[in-house]
Amino acid sequence: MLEEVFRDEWGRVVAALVSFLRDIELAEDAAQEAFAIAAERWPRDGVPESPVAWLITTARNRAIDRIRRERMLTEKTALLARELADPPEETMDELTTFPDERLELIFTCCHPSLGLEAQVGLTLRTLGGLSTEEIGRAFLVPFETISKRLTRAKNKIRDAGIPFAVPPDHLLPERLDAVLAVVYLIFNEGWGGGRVDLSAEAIRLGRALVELMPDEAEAVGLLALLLLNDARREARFRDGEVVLLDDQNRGLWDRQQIDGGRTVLQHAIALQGNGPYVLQAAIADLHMQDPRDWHEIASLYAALVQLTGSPVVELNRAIAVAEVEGPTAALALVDQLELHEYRYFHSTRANLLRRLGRTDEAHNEYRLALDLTPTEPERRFLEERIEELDDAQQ
Amino acid sequence: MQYALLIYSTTEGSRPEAERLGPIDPRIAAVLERPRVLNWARLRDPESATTIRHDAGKTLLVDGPFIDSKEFLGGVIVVEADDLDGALAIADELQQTRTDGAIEVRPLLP
Repeated sequence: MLEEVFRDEWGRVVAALVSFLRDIELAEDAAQEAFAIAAERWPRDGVPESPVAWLITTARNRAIDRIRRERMLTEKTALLARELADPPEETMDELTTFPDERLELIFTCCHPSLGLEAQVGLTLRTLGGLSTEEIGRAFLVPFETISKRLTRAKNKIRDAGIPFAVPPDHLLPERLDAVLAVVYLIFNEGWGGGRVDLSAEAIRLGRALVELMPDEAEAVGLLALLLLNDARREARFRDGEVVLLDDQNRGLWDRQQIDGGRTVLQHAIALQGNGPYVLQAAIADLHMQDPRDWHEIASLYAALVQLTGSPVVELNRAIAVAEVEGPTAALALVDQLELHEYRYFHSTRANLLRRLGRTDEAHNEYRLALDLTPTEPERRFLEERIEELDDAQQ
Repeated sequence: MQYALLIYSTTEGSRPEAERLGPIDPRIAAVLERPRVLNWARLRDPESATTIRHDAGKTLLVDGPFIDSKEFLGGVIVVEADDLDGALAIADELQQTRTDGAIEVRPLLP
């Protein structure tokens, strides 16, 4: 029970405390304390009627006690001083009306004046409730490093006056992009390495964003994209090896989640969404239909290239073009791209060359891809392709 | 909160000092006249700098700026803003009038 409340409500509790204390470190400490007290009391005294309000109130009181003890009543805590002089009536009825301030907290954590890694770490810590150890493990970064990075970011938020607010309209699109990018990055981190908990965490964050900003088509589109991609999770690996979409056992796809993702996608389209995440979700949807409409996929990728100018997207368009116009046309597109440090550039090129019967060149390209691939399942996949080429030649 | 906007220029991109001494670009002057701009100063070229340091109790004078690089500090503006976004908005407005360099925004110690 408590674990569930922790997962669901940690972000809300921390957000309410940051709003009050204007200091993330203090807020986290107080929230942690409140959850510890709950772990002790709830099994004994029963779960309070409004667990969130109970946690926020308890944490707030703890923080006030602590600040009293440490006599930190400086300018920054003038607000607290006023509250201490005039403590509010604390009845449970009043406490149930704490506003949900997670959105303010997300925009603080993903403020562009923070480095991307700090944004990701802070979001996972303050909204997702992941511990510093867990974040370090997920990103293969030593505890010390991640801990320092988070502390530095929290200090900067406090000292540089990074706002705790939803950005004004003229800044909102670009700031929302930053937030969505962080959530997508967290998802992909879980996706590439097969670390399921990060993907699940990203979906939770995505759901929270849609709940908080139900009319932002791109937020809705991102959630649809995450749900649709994640629905294929079970089919993506077999015995620790990557399985390509064409070879995936469709019986392992999570039908219920696909339906859910499609409903969310329809909602995004109904909101007139035509931004990059909505387009990517629509493409993911098309990829899961049988047979696949490669014409439509190629044209959506073309629209996405228009929006993003991304060579990686152009690479994906080339893959769709290969299905519509054949590998020669696709290879011509791929060869125009400057993506020599990108492993999928080489594996895509290798695949096209193989289909054109240019076996030696394909072999070289697979080698180049292999050199750039760190994760074991993907490495094994490429090694097998190389073996297949060798077998075919003999 | 108070923030310092540190106006950096580059040696290739900056106008000659004689030219910079003339009237301030009216777009920048308009910003400097706002009530939330608390103070500002323009600096002479880095060649005019003398750097003082102490080494083993001895005073050393060096001709030139502390950090000798292609980027140099050309001026400082101190502004009052509600939060970092407020200060960044002013910095962005100023930077749009410039063709090179960059503006570093830093909170002042209270």
